Amino acid sequence: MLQFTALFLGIIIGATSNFTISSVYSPYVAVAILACLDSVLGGYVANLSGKFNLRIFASGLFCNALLAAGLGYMGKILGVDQINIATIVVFGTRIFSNAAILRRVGIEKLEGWWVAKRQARAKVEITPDEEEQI
Amino acid sequence: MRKLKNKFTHAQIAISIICFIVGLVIALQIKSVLFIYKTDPTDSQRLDAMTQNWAAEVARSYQMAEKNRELQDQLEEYQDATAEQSDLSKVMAEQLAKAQIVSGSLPVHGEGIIMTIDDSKQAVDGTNPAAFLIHQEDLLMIVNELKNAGAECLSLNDERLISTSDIRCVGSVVHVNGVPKAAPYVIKAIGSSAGLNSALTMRGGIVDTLSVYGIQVSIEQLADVKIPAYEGRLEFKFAKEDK
Repeated sequence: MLQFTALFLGIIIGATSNFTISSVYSPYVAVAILACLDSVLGGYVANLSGKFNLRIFASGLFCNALLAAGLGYMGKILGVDQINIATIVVFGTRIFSNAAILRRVGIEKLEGWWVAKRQARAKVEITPDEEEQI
Repeated sequence: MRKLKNKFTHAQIAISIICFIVGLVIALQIKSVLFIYKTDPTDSQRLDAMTQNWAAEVARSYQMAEKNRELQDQLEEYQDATAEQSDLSKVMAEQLAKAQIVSGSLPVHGEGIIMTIDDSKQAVDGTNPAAFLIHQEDLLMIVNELKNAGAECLSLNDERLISTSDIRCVGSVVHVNGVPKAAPYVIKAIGSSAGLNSALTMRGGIVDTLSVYGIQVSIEQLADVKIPAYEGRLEFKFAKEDK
């Protein structure tokens, strides 16, 4: 699917380029990545349920990323490095629940597809018999 | 462009772009974390491990120094025992004592001087703040001058200077025989105390050069100066006897 190839492409380009994030920013970038992953999964779920709103998605993405990084920075200033734990727990929880929703929807779709296929095959098997009888 | 828009909804395109960016940032982040872990010397885990290693090595080195002293005492006993036996061994014992004095394995004492130098207490006037501190060059000049004047044994802050001793500036301290020593520096020399003193205090000599920037110098002439033995290892991996 388009999204996975885009992700893959991004990873490859990042791995092979010479650009590195300065070590000062790396803890903040880490939590921002988590926020972005949560936004992506949330957007995907909203898309599936037809309620996707581009503005909400984009604004949510940036706001979450900035908030996560900002919270981390505040924790560093206050000397409470553990504030990152709260960010990680919250976004981790949301990632897991969104992934569970996607998984459920995906499996239901797959089951529906199997059932439809079996029904189609059954219909095809019935009609030749009828023709013979006639 | 419209074909693309018909194939994929807005949502999918937006999410794909974000996925691309996220993939990019994840890869960069992983790269920089790996890089930091490899090169960051202040990584706390490695720092702890290295501090422990260092403490263990320091404790071991103290143990080794003690063992060394015990063995030296034993050795002296054996030497004394053999020296009393015959004339030949008396001569050999004398030669041995001489060699030991030169190699630094015995503490020595005799007439000499004790020179104490300290960093300048004058206010730094901004021209060159480093000139108000003592550097390895100053210490090396003093040692050289004393050797020229006939000093037989030297020590710097109670580190015996032997032929392979080095005096090296490391940051704000000086390493002598690998041991860090800080100002004030006490240089003890055994030789003719008058001769050594005049070598240092002659006009245009070391004391004059150092006093320009106010480096504090004091020289004591004594009838008995004690200089400790060399505490390091004497190991010759490359030098061999040339018979």
